[in-house]
Amino acid sequence: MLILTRKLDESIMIDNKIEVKILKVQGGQVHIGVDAPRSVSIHRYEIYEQIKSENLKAVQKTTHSDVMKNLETSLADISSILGGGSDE
Amino acid sequence: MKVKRKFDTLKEEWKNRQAGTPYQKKITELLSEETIFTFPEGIPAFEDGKDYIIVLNPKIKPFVYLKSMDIEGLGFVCIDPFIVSPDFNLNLPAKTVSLLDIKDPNSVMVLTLVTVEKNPKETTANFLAPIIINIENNKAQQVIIDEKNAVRYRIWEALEKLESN
Repeated sequence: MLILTRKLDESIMIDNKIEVKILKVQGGQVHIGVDAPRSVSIHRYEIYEQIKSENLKAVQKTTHSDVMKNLETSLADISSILGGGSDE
Repeated sequence: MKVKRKFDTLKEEWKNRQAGTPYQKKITELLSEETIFTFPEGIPAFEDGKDYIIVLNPKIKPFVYLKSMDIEGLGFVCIDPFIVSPDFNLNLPAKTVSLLDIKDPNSVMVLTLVTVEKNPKETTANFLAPIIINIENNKAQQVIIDEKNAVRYRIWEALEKLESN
């Protein structure tokens, strides 16, 4: 990892198009401004990690697993209890 | 190399059993051909999986199954977020519009990845990062729409209401 030291109001330039600027340093917090083309997506790291971890949890190897059978049964229960039928 | 699958049988079943929300009709029409959906960037945690198909299984309607063509044993149960949350909001970032080459918002299909729990009533959908598909060219991307959206949005109650209508 490249490590740079910056002061308040100083910035770094990435790939000639993305500017990252230190706007405010207060207590344990740093306010960072990012100027980038609209084609670049910028997110808090933990949001991205959250999505990765939820994607891993969401994986269903097949549609025949026990979990999926449970789902089928419960969906069938909803339709039968409520009288929504399979015959239309 | 792209693997082709037959959708015809599933499609017919789906048509016959589906009570007919516009979405399912759209999706069945879309899948009337053997359709491969390409995620140019993969999806987070599975960046190497680029090509997927959507399998319609009437037993799990209104869910569909998004199945990877590149990674064995990789698949996701998905649901259209608008089915379980009519006021779901979607504002596509410019990056997505350009990556997927979206010309017309009507060509956008949205799915959310579903985490199916052992107790299905605890099942949630990922509203933080839905799958955006351009049905003009079948390119897709998992997109963070709004950092405030729930990554685990509970959907079962809405499904019960849906079935009662």
